[in-house]
Amino acid sequence: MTTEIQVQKAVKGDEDSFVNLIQSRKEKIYRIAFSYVKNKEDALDVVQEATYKAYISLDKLKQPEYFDTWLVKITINTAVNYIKSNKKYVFMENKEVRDSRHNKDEIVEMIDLNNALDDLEQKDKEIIILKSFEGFKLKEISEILGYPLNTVKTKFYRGLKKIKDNLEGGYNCEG
Amino acid sequence: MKVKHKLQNFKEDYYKSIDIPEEIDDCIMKGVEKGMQERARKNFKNKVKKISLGVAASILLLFTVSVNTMPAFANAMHDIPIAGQLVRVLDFSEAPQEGGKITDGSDVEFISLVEKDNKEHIVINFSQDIKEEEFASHYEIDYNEYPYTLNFKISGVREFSAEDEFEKMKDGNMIQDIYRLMTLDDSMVRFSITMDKPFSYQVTEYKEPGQLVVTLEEKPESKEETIYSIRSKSHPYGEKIGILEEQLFSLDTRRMLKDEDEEFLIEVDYFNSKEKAEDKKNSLAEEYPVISDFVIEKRGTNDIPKSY
Repeated sequence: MTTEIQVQKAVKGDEDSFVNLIQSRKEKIYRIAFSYVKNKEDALDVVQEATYKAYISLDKLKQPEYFDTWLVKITINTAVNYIKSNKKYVFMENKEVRDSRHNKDEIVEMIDLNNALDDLEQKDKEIIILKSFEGFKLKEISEILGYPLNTVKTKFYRGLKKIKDNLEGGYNCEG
Repeated sequence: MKVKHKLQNFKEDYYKSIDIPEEIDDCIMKGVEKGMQERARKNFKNKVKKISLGVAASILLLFTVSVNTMPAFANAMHDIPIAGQLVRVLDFSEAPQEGGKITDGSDVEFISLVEKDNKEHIVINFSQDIKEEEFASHYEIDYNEYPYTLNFKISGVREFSAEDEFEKMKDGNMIQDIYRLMTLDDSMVRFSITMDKPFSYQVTEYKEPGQLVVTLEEKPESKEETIYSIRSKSHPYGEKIGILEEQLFSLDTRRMLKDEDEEFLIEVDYFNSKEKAEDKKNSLAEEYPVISDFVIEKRGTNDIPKSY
């Protein structure tokens, strides 16, 4: 069954179709949630809340073909609101996760890249994650984040350049 | 390696670094369940809205009947414009009542009268900068006889828009007159309600927004007595009457009253015999020279002071 048909069914009130739609995107929305809140428990909370919000506002989704961008938009908004209401907590978790990643990642280059990514401004990072990791088109990202397409492009290329500078700078320092 | 390619390689690592926990399925189901409940709640609300007018009318009829036949219901469900939450109910009595919160710069914005079940409800609304005030301003309400009056003293108030509604308040069965009392303190308003029947009153206070409901209930007994009042001359509404009252500030029994000609007087006390009144007047005049100009006035239960 195509996504569109499933979405149409879900909009009409078919719970199974809705659950299927979310199930097949759960990894994506979890990773996006995680990239904001940086820990498992909070990311799960965000997924649950985003699922709920998507369910109750499904009737507002006018074009079924935009289901994916719409769902990611809800997930990001939910995550951002979540962080706002738990500011201090996330700050501490953030540090912890970084440290654990250092231990986990064995490839130095990857650590550098990860750090370079974390050093980006949140919005630039979002765009890189959505584009390079989650496979969204720049046009779709502009829909999700509500920025003009040109801004998304600028931020994306600026982000890439920053990472590049950061990595090269890192190599230079090492010698 | 180009950054783009690096990122591409990193993608795998990034995916691996974020394990998808097993609990995620539970979370999704919980989210869906919560959504289903919410939707059911909304649907129910909509259905309630769609109840036909006929059904609504019959419910209303039932409600009216029950309100009229059950005393408890009548007390609990006033058909009066209340928007806030109940703070307190002060019992029916003739004793002074006090309550509310200390505010500043409020407006006693609106006063209205609702008649229901042979009772009259005076509803007082407060505001602050055009918005509804969260709490009722601090109030003191005082019951008096000869004539039957209810005096309101509301503090922390600098505006008195409700005064515009005074005329409408006289439409009811019990309220004969309502008038503002001259007050030298500019953060307080006072007003007085004159009733032509014996009554007891109950104060109900609400918050968010602050509202006061004063319920007046007629009392069956009525006494036909005569009193002798020690009172001042009449003065028009203004500073003069305010200053005169101030001079007698330490006399607890003093009060300001409006006479038959819409002028104001200060009464310091009253007695049921002329002799007692004379004695009191003489003894008070020693301490308060201004009282030597006062007169003794004979009044019946419902008599309004004469112009003097």
